[in-house]
Amino acid sequence: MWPDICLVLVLAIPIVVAVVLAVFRRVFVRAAGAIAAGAAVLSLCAAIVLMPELSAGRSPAVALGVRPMPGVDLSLRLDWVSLPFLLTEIVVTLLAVVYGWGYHRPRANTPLFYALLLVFGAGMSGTTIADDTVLFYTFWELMLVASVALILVWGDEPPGGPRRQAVAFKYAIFTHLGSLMVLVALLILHDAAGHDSFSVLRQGVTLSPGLTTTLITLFLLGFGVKMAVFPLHIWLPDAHTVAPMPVTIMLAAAMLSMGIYGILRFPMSMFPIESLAPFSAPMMVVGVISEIYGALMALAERDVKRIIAYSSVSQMGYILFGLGTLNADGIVGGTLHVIYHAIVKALLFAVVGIIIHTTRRRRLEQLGGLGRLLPVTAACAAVGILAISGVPLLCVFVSEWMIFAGGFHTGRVALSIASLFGSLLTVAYALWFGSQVFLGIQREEVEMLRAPRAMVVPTVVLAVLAIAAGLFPGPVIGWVSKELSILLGGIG
Amino acid sequence: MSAMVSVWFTGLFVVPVVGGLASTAVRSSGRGSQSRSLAVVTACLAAVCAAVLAFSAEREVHLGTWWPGTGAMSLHTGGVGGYAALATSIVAVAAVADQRIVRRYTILVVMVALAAANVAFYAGHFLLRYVALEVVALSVAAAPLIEAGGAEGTRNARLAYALLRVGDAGLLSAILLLMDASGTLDIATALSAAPGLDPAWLAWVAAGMTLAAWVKIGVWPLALWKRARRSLSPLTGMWLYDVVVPNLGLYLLYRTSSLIASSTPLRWLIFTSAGVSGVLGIARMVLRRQIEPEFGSLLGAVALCCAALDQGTFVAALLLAGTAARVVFALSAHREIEDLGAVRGPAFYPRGSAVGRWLGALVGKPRDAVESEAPGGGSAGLWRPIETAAELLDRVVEHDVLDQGIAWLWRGIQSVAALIHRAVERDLLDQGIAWLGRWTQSAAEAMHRAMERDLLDQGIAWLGRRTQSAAAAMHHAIEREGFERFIREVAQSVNAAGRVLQRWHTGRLRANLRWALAALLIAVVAFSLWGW
Repeated sequence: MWPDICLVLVLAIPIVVAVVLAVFRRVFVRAAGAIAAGAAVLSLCAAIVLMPELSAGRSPAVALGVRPMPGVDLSLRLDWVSLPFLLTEIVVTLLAVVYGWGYHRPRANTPLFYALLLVFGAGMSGTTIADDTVLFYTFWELMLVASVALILVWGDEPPGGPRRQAVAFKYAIFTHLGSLMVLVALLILHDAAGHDSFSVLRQGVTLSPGLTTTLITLFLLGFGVKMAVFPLHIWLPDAHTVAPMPVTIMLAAAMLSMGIYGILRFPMSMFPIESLAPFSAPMMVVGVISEIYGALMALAERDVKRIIAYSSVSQMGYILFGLGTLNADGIVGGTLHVIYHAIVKALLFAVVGIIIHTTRRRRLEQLGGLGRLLPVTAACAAVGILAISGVPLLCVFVSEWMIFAGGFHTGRVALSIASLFGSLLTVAYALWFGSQVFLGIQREEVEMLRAPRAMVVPTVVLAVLAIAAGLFPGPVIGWVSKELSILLGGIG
Repeated sequence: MSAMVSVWFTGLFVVPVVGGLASTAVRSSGRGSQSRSLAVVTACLAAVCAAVLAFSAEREVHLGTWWPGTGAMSLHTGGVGGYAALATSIVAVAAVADQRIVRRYTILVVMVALAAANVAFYAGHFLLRYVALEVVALSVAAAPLIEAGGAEGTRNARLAYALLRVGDAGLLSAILLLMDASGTLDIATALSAAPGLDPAWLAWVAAGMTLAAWVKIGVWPLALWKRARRSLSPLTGMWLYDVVVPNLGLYLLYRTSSLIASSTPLRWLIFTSAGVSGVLGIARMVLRRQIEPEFGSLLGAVALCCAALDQGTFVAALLLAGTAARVVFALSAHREIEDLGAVRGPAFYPRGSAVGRWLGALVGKPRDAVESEAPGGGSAGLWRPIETAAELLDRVVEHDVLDQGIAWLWRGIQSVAALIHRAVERDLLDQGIAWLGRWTQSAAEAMHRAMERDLLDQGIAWLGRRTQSAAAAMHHAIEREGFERFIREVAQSVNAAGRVLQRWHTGRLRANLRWALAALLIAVVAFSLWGW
């Protein structure tokens, strides 16, 4: 009983608090941030309570008892595929809300800002624990609506950069295009199975080979837009640049992973490995191209926020490569990379936020020598830079090792070597970014503002997480590996 | 016994790190001499541990599994690795004992590197070895940042780490291929499974291992990462750059020589490059009248050739004997050594430096001899073109090819990235999307014009007009020309008939009455007859 209630609470708490904040926005102008953080903490607690239940071999599930039409039964469920994503999203939401305390100065519409952050987070959580296609798609679109509203109202407009309305429009159109592909695929699945429950769909849907291929293609393209792999990444650099920093953290660290969750949940859970085998090589090739392309673009950029934004395109390439291997090492490595990328990307964006806040500069040629002025931030940045470069004893090393090992297991040695050596470009842009911003001399006289503690503390927490996750990867790998029993007909 | 080995290992790895931290803390509090003493004691303890382990029997110590699927990590005693660790640790004692120009964190970096290098020498597990090598690479990159700083230090640190990482990428690809073939990361088992690999894969493995060793040993043209040592103190410049990393590379070469020898194309590549490296090195030695910095590169080239000939024992001998020689020559080449003779303390540096300089002068003898005879001798004419060619070659190789080459490579990567960024992100995607947006808008406007205004608005107007005219025509045809006309004509006919009848009857009342009377009579007769 308790686990079921907790499963509902994971979603209900942020949504109810968001509604309260929106309705009584005049009352909660100052306290909105703390209330939102409290809601995120409670949501996290509810999710943590579910873990022993899952470890005991029981998947908490709740039928909401709502049947809007025949064959549609709204329900929630937590399993091993959902868990890593759910925890990542809630933790990232919590850190983004706390970061927002320092980033966002209280104004009349501040409660709405935090309410939308909570709705955005709840959209991601709902997508992850939905156990039917209708609820899945509803939450999928909810996160889009919330994030578009956040960019539209609170977006930054860098000098000479794109306008926030244009960016919000571009982001909405592109991601919605991907959503439509997913919707078409979901409708075909629903039509074939006669029911929308994931449990029914997982038991097997009889489709012609041609239709199966079409469905998998639609899913991969649709979720690929959300992942922002090359060439479906067009919305990402602008959206990440213009979005307010807490939203950028949520977009980069959590929302991109929704695309990966979709791939794991639909094509990889519902079809046997034989159906996906023809997609293996294309996924790996696109992964390598995205990895190299994103790293090159990060090298070419001069706006610090856009450098980290392009780094996401590159990192998503690693993950797609891992999933494309269709073997245990690659898939576990890819899923692990989602978690580690979330930590490191949130860390790097948090660092960039502090740089922009304290210097009011965002271009590399205006920055330099900040290591002496911002020692704590510089130390955290060093952790993030080394982690994303795949340095051992930091988190990303483990997931990259597993992804590359998965690549070599496929027998596609040339592709795997290309991916491995392509990672040197990641080292190049990470070192370039770090040395240009924190080392050398300060290029422009800037009157430095003090970094708010609310921005520094989450950054330090993320840096500690990056180190701890790298030193002790065992437990997380243990949880993530359990997803293999669900994927590709149980390859674990 | 195994427990004792574990204790010695703990001493070998943990003591340097703890000692380094303590020494740094003491130095931060302003007690420089105590910091130095602490560092010396630490290095000595590590060397003692290394000595005990180097001469102990063959044993294996398990460290546990880092993460599932990688197997238990282990350390092995009783091999060349132990001697290499001992040689490296002894040099560390000498180097730390003579430390002079060091920054606050130098000792920490050196001690971390010492611990990591020792782990790498004793590691029996590829994952452990890879991690240790990466830690050493980070220490190598940290040294110029700490000691030189500024733009040059930053550039050197970046270059050193990036190049060492290239070598490590080669090593990692080889490790993963071996793991795929053998199913284990245990070094001995994985290497023994290598001959069963597909020949193409085996070539990849050998190439990856060679690349890793090549970079670490510092053989031309992959020795660029060592450039930073010129601006470093003798401690980091000599020990870290000229002893630790090359020793790790030589040890890797020793372990994989049979693999490297199995690939014929690789062997030829090694022979050719080693030949070029040798010619360049000797020419530059003679020109500069000093053995370093070419000695390490030459020694490495020889080691590479030995490995390509599957002569692992020679590689091991070069590792152990070469360590001392490299120390002596490295000292002779260091800029700051010139002033060290007058400084108090152990005379290791000045003596080493003096020996190195004497040997360097010996190498320069042929040139000196020729030059002394030059004014009157006939050989001057022969020497000058050779010298000019060698200087030219030296400049081209050192300055134009390497310096400029690396700068060009970096600029090239950035330019290509910028070009792609401009072409794809801005022109193709951004402008493409903008164009698509504009095109969609124009198309929508055209469609709006065509459909809404031209087709629909005007169409509806036309249709209205047509309907109206049709209605008018119909009205005209049916209402006025058809039905109404018929009715009118009928009415007119009836009217006309009425008028005829009226005309007939008008003025004929009497006749009409007669007719009426006659009709009545007829009716009466008729009814009477019918009733009757």
